[in-house]
Amino acid sequence: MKIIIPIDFFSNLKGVPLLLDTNVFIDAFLRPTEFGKFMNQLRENRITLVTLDAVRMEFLKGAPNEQKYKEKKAFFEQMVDVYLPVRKDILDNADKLLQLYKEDGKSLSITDLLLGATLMHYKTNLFLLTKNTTDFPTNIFTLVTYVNLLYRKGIHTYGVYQYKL
Amino acid sequence: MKMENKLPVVKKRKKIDIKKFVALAKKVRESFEEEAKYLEEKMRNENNNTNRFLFKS
Repeated sequence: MKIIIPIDFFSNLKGVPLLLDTNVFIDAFLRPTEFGKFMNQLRENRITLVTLDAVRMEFLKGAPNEQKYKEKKAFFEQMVDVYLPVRKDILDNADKLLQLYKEDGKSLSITDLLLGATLMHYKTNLFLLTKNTTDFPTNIFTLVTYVNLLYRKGIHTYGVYQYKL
Repeated sequence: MKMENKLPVVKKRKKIDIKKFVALAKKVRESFEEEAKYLEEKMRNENNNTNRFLFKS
């Protein structure tokens, strides 16, 4: 697998912190060399990697024992500089978002809703990195840039989104 | 930028040690595989219970 980064990727990010969705952590343990290098590259470009406790919990749930829980947590934390708190105003944003999503909100996970509400709160000061491109529609969010993962069979795309102002 | 929209400042960003990260990823992958197996087993049992119930009814 190869991560294909567009030439203007880092200039488009403008040093804005990147909020990581759960699928980034899943792909990272499947392809640790490539993702580890990519995370280092982001940090070298002065990008702070942030996430939510909801994402951490989604990743850690189901660990069969304490040892495995600790290993998953240690792995996860290698990729995170800061956890963003979900405060009351972000929960209020979640309510507003549900109304914007309309019937599309039916299949939305609570984690995705909180990620969207967090983007809404920080406006231009935060971007989201996610492979779940269907749950962040472009009538609500702006696609800033993207990264392609080139596999032997097929291409996966990660979108970088911000809340549409 | 309003105060509440400010993100925490990170003075020193971590650098991932690729070798250690790959070793840890291997353990995490094993854990996820074990979790998937458990989930599969659980679903199968639940399906069996439902089927048994349906056959009797």
